[in-house]
Amino acid sequence: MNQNIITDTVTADVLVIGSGIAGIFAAIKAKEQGLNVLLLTKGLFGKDGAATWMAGQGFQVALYPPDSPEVHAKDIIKAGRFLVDQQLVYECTKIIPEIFHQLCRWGVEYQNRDGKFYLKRLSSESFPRNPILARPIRFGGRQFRSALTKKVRQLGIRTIDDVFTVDLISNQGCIGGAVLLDIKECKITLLRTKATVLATGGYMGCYPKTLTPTETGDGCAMAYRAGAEITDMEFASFFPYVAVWPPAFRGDDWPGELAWNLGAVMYNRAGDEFKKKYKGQLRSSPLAIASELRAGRGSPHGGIYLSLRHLPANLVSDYLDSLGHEKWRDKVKRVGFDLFNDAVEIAPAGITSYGGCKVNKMCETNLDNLYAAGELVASREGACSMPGNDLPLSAATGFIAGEYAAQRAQHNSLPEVNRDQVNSIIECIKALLGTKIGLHPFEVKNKAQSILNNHAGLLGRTDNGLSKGLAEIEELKTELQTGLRLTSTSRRFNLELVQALETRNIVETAALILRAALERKESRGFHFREDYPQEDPNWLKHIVFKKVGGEPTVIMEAEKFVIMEPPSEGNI
Amino acid sequence: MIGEEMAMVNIYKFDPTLDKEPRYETYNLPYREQTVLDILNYIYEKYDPGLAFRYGCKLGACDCCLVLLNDRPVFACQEQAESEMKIGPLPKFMVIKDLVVDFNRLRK
Repeated sequence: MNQNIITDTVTADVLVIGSGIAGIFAAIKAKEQGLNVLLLTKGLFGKDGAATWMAGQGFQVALYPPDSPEVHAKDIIKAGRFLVDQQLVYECTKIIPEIFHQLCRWGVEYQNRDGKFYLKRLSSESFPRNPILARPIRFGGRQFRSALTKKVRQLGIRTIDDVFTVDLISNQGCIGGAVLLDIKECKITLLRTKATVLATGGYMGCYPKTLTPTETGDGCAMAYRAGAEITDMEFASFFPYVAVWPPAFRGDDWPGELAWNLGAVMYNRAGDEFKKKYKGQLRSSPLAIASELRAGRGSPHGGIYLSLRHLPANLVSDYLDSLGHEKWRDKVKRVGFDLFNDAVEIAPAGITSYGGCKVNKMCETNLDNLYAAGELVASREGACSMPGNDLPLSAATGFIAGEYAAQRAQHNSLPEVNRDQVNSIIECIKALLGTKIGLHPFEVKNKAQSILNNHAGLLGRTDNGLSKGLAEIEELKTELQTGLRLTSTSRRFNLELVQALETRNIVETAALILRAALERKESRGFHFREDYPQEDPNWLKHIVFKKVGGEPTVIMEAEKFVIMEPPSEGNI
Repeated sequence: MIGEEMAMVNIYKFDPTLDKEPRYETYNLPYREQTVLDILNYIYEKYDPGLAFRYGCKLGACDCCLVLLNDRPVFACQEQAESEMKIGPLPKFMVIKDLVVDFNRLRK
């Protein structure tokens, strides 16, 4: 029976799962060492939901003295409230300049005079560190897309579209590849590799309101199931300015540009500029907005009013005519929205996650042959991030993971496959699809997302709430084990099947998020506990999960301050 | 519901492994202020779990949800639903199933 299900066995030296900037850099680095590399995406290569393609303009790089990789690393450590893996981040900031020059050679253009780049200072930077794209564009990610995909093609790296990685195959703590589902043909393939890089992105797709709907925690969940250590799951950021009104802009993060570039002003339904009244952590825009909305002071559409009324109409109009915003200008006109007088209504949505695989400075996980890169790497930015670091750190961890994975593959033979484990993965897929009663995958997905939103969103993180959320998620997990209701029997591009597998990962990841948020009894960075609103120096440690005998065990690990110590005086 | 109208949606259905010819399936459904992608998702959840379509970023940045709406190529995630919609795959590329095409292979 199982032999019939597995239709193919494929081998490669290095397998890279995920095709955003991290996966692509890993694949390039491995390919440069002359290896047989396979680069997978669950969508279309270059057109998938990778956060890279939606990135804005930020790309922090320490190019000229007095700035340096060390200062850059220290800025990240301070911003991350000292829960940053200092060694790893320093390894990254050291190679970011090289990565930046490489991107320039591959076609990403930045403003410069005689080869010296103009740099803009973003918040929390000790020195101006952010280069400016040569042509203003709304999604800076588009430039990366053309440069990176071209390079992958040039090097002849084999990419495969529409393939969902179901699970990693492991044999006594040693990873030997993965079980894949070809979405187009509904075929299951056993892929055997000498080294594997997980670069599947983050887990903000586990939340109902999100800017990364396809990032469903796949990497976290499969690494955890394979026995990898997962940490920092309580830290995630929400983008404050996502439109809920007018409907033509719903879900769009464009209002953020209005807030940053034009200083648009926020009001609650009473007309108060509410942000001023919040203190401490609640002063951050996402938390302040969430607090107003929860108190019932939002608009009837569930948003906060974001207004440009204080600016002359021709100034706003000129801004809309500026490069990079024409598409939005035309849309404003087309739907007849009066941006000069009426407010856009906004609410927060998930954007970036900061937990995931615990790695060493070689981006190696605790499992043999398994590396992690990109948003999946935990402790790269700690409890809180500065703008403009996600992209360079993703590229850098990809660079490092690819290099060491390639070295490993060169000295490794294909690990033995544990057939029992492969069979149990297949059994699990069958069980997931087994029943024709019960809930549809999308119903379970919606349920899991709303549990997470209610108990581990921006607000609502309390002992009571998180315990309740965890119990609800565990209940869903049990329901999943008895199977999901799949009504389509189609073997071609079966969305239900993909959604069932994604839902399994969402539920697994959501349980880890809730558990971590419950465990951390303090507030730090993006993690706000209503019942423990203060930062507590005793909590300068990571909560690490590892699956032992089916159950998560919790390990507390103190951060090692190899580059800088947190100031001893209370407020850091 | 207030503000709700009815839309007539014709959706291209074609599974090359089973069907000889493509056909259009018609749905009458309530809609209000939704995107074309919302409508596709609604049909998938309520009527046709076998419907195949793509989505990625939902911001108009990744390009994978391109479909033909009333003979015009649009991003499904960015386009507002209309009261009469004919939704089909991009005409240039091979159809994998329904609205999903293979961007690497041109239609014969």
